[in-house]
Amino acid sequence: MGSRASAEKMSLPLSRSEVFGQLRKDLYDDEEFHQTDVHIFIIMGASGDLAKKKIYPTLWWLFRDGLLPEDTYFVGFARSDLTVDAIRAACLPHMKVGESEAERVDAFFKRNFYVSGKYDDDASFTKLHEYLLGLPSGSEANRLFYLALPPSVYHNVTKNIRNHCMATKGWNRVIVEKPFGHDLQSSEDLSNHLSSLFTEDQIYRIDHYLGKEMVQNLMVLRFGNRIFGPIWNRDSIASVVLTFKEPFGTQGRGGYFDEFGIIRDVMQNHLLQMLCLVAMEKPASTSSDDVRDEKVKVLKCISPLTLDNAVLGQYVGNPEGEGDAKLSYLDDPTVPKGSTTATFATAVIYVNNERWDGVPFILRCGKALNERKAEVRLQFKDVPGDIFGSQCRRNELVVRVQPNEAIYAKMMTKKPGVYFSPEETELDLTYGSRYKDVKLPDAYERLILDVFCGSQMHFVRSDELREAWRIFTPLLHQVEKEKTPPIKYTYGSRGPPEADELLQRVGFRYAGTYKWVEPHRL
Amino acid sequence: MASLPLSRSEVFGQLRKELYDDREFHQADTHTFIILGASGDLARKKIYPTLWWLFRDGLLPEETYFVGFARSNLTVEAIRSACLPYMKVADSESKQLSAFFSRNTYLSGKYGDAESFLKLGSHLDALPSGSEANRLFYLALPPSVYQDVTKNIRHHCITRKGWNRVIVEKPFGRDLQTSEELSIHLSSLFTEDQIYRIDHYLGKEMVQNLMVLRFGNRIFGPIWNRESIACVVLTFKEPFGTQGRGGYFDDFGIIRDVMQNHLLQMLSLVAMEKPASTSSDDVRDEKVKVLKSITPVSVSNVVLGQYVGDPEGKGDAKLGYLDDPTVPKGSCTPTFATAVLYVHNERWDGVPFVLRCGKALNERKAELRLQFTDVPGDIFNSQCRRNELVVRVQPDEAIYAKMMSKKPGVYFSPEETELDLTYRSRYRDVKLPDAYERLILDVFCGSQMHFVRSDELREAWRIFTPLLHHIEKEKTPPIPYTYGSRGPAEADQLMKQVGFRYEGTYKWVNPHAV
Repeated sequence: MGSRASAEKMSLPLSRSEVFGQLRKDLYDDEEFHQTDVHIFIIMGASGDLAKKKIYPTLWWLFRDGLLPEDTYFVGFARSDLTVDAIRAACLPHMKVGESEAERVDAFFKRNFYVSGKYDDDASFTKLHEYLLGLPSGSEANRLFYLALPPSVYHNVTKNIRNHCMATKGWNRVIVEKPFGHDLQSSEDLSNHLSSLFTEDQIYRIDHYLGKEMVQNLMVLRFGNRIFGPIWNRDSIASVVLTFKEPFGTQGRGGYFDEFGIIRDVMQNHLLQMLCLVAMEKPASTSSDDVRDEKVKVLKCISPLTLDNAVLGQYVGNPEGEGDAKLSYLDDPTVPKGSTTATFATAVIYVNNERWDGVPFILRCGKALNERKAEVRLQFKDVPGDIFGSQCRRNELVVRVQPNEAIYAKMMTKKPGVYFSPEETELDLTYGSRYKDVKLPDAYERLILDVFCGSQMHFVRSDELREAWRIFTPLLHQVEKEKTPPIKYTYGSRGPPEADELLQRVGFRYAGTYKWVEPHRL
Repeated sequence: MASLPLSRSEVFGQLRKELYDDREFHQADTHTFIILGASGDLARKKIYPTLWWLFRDGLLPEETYFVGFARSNLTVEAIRSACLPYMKVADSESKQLSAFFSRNTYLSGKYGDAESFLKLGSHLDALPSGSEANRLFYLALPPSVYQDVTKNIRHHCITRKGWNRVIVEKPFGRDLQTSEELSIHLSSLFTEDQIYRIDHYLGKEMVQNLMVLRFGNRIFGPIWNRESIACVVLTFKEPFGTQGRGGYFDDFGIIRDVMQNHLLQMLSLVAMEKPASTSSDDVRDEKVKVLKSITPVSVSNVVLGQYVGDPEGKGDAKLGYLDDPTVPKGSCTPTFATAVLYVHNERWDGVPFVLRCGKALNERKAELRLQFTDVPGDIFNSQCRRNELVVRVQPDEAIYAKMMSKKPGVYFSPEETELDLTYRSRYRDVKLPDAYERLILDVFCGSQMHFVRSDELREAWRIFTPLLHHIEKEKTPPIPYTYGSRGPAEADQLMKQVGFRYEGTYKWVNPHAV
C-alpha cells in the first residue's frame, strides 16, 4: 500500500522542522503546540558553571542535530557584564565542536544574545523583557526560562520573571534545577512560592535521571511486553535493588556536597524516581499527568524511612590506594572538620500496596566505591517445587542505566554439552552491540527537548516532590540532630559490610557464582 | 584437584552421577557395544563415527568393546575404511584411532538364523571379562528383520551377569496398528527399561534445554499457560528435496518422518506439567499425559504440500518431488505439512500448537516459538507487537525473547528488539556434542529420559493415524509449492486463522554478527 511510498519518503533527509514535528508528534501528540513557532530560550545565570558546562553545550548539540524548531533564539542573563563572545569562549571547551562544524557554531552563536542585570532588580527584568520583545517575532514567541541559579536568588528571579518577562501571546515555561529545598518544609516553601507565580504545567523540575535512556525505557519495558506483566509483583519478585555507585570521592568539591549528603544528592531524587517507575501501576495513558499520578500513588504507599532500615557510610582513604584514593572525605579541605555527612547510604523501603506488600526496595548509593554503575535489579523468587537439587539460582532482570546501557535477564540454562544440570546464563540486550550506530542523546538534551515539546512526563511534579521529602525528612532530621556518625568504609570498596548485611537480612540473595560479562566482548 | 585432567573413567563417572545418580551401575564396568547391521549406511555414517568420538573424548567407560554383526563377510579393516570418511579423524589422532579399532571385532551371520546368534553369544562371552560385561545392542537394521533379530538376541545373546539394553531406530511402525504390533513383540522379549527407542531430536542441545528453561526459571513459570500464550509454533524446515533418495521417503511422507516424532516430542516438552523429579519415568509420565490430552488431528486442521521445481532455480531447485526417479509416478505423499493441535487440559485449553515441517523450503531451521498474547489495556496506541520466546534448535542454537523496548534516542515510542542468548557467542569454546553422542552415552548411563517409551509412541500414533489413513485412502492430492518457497500459502492462512500473528516488521539477526 502506502508503505513503499512512505519508506521512500523516510529516506529523504528531513528538514529540521520536519524532524522536530515528528518528535513533537511522538512526544506530545502534537497537541497544544502554537503555530507561532518562534521560541526564545532564556538562560538565567548564563555566566555560571551549569550554564557553561551543561546548558549552552546542550543547546548547541540540539541545534546542531536539527532538533530545535527553526526559529529559536537564545538569551543569556546574569549579573556579570558579558558578551556573547565571552560566553562562547567560556563554553567552547565543553561543546565538543567537530572541525567541520565551524560554520554551524557561528550560526548558533548568531542566535545568541546576552543581557546583564541584577536578579532582584525590577528594572533589569523590564529591560530583559523589552529585549525579548525586540527579537524577530519576539512578541509572539514562546519563552523558556532556564534557572541555572543558586537557590538563594530563586525567589527574586522567579517573581521578577512572572511580573516582568512573561510572553502574552506565546506560552511560558520555567525549568528549575535542584536543590528543591533540603527537607519537606523548605521544599514546600519553594513549591508554594513557585505555584503562586506559575501554574503546574509551566513548571519543569529537572531530575536528570529521568532523561536517561534506560530510565525512560522502563515504561515501555513494563507496559509494552506481555511477558513481564504477570511476574511484576510480590508473587514473583523477591526484592528490587536500585543502585548508584561512583568510583570517586568529592575531589576537593566536598564543601557543596557536605551541605546535602548522599541521600539528598542521589537517593531522595534519582533512586526514588527509578523506584516509582519500577513500582507504579499502569497509567491510564502515557500522558504526563496520568504517569505522574501513578508515580505519586506509589510514593504515598511508602512510610517514612527509619534508621534501622538504613546504613550510612563515609569513606576513608585507602593507604594502599593511589592518588585520590588515599584521601578520606574528611581530608577534603572544603569539608567541615568532623563532618558526619554520609557519602554512602543503603536504605530499605516498602511499598505498602497490593502489588508490593512485603517486597523490599533497596536503595544503594555512594561515592568512592569500587565501580561506576547505576542499575535497577529485580530479583525473582526461588522456583517453587525445585526439581534440580537446589542447583538453580534466582532469576534477575537487570536494567543497566550507566555505563554501557543494557537489559539482561539472568536465568538458568542447561549446562551446554553432555550435561543435564542447570547453569547460570543471561538473555541479553547490550545497547553498544545491538544499536551500534545509534547515538543515545544526553539526558539534558532529551529533557530540554521535552520542554520545547511541552511534555512534562520526565519532570517532577510538586506533589511527587512533597511525597519524596516526606519519606526522607524524618531520617535526615534525626541524623542531623543526633549527628549520627556514619560507618567508615575504604575508598574503592563495596561500602560498609553492614550494608550488605542489611540486604541479606531483608531477603536479597547474592550467590557470588555469577558475574555478568558483556557477552559481545571478544 | 579439579585442575588435574580427569581419567576417562573419572569423567564418565561424573557424567554417570549427573545423569543417573550413579544408581544401578554394575561394578563389572566392562561394556560390549554390539552393532547389528554393521555393514549398513546408518552404522557406517553414524554409529561407528559416534562411538569413535565418544571414545576419543574419553566419555566411554575404560573397558568397552565394540562388536559388529551383519550378513556380509567383512573384516574390521573393511569397516574401518568404510567408516573413515565420516569419522573426522585429525592427523594427531591416528594412535587413538588404532586403539579404538583394536577394541573392535566383527562377526558375520544371518539375521534369521539361531545358529549365527549362538556364535555371536559365544564371541561376546569370549571377549575379556565378556561374560560379566554389560551389553548394548544397537539395531541399525531395516524393519523387515527386526522381529527375527530381537528374538535371537533375547534367546542367544543376552548376558546373565551384566545388564542388557537394546537401542532401536525408527521407523517404529507406520501407524497405530503396526507400531503396537512391534511394541508388543519387543515387550514380549525385553522389559521397558531395556528398550531405548531413539528420536534423535531428543538428543539436541536446545531440546534437552527445554526442561531447565521451563522449570529452572521463576520468570517463565507464571506466563507458561493459556493466560499468556496465544499460540505455540514448532517448525522444522529443510532447504533441499529428496535428492534422488525419495523412494524411501515416499513410503513414509513428512508426517511420519518429522511431525509425528520430532515435532510432537518437542510439543510434549513444551506443554508438559512439571514432573515430580527429573527421573526418566517421571518425565515420560508427564509427556504421555500431554499426548493423552490431544485429540486426533482432523483433516480441516491440516495443510499438506508437495514441492514442484522452480523453473528459475538452479540445479536441484529445478526438480519437483515427482521428478525424483525413485519416487512412484503420481505419488500423493506430502513433503510439507502444517497441522494444528490442541492440548485439552487446564493449562492449554484453546491454545493452538502449530506443527510445521517440510522439505525444499526457503531455509534450514528447527525452532520452537511461543507467541504471547497482546498486552491487555494497551497504552502505546497499538504500536506494540506480540512478545515471542524463541528457542532455536538448529542451526545456530539460540534462545531469544522478542520484546518491545523504547526506540533508542530522543523517541518515546516502542520498538521491537530482543533479549538474546546465542550459543556461538556466549559459549564460544564449548563444543556441543552431536545428538547421537549424547543419546548413546545416555544408554551407557542407563538414562531413558531422552528415549521414547512405548506408551508415548502409542499416543503419538493415535493422534496421527486417522489423518494418515484418511489421506492415503482418499489419495488427497497435496498442494503444490515451489522449491525454495515458504510452502503453500494455505499453511500461512491456517496459522493466521487459528490466531498466530505475523507482522513482518521484525527479522531476527544475530546481534553478535558484526
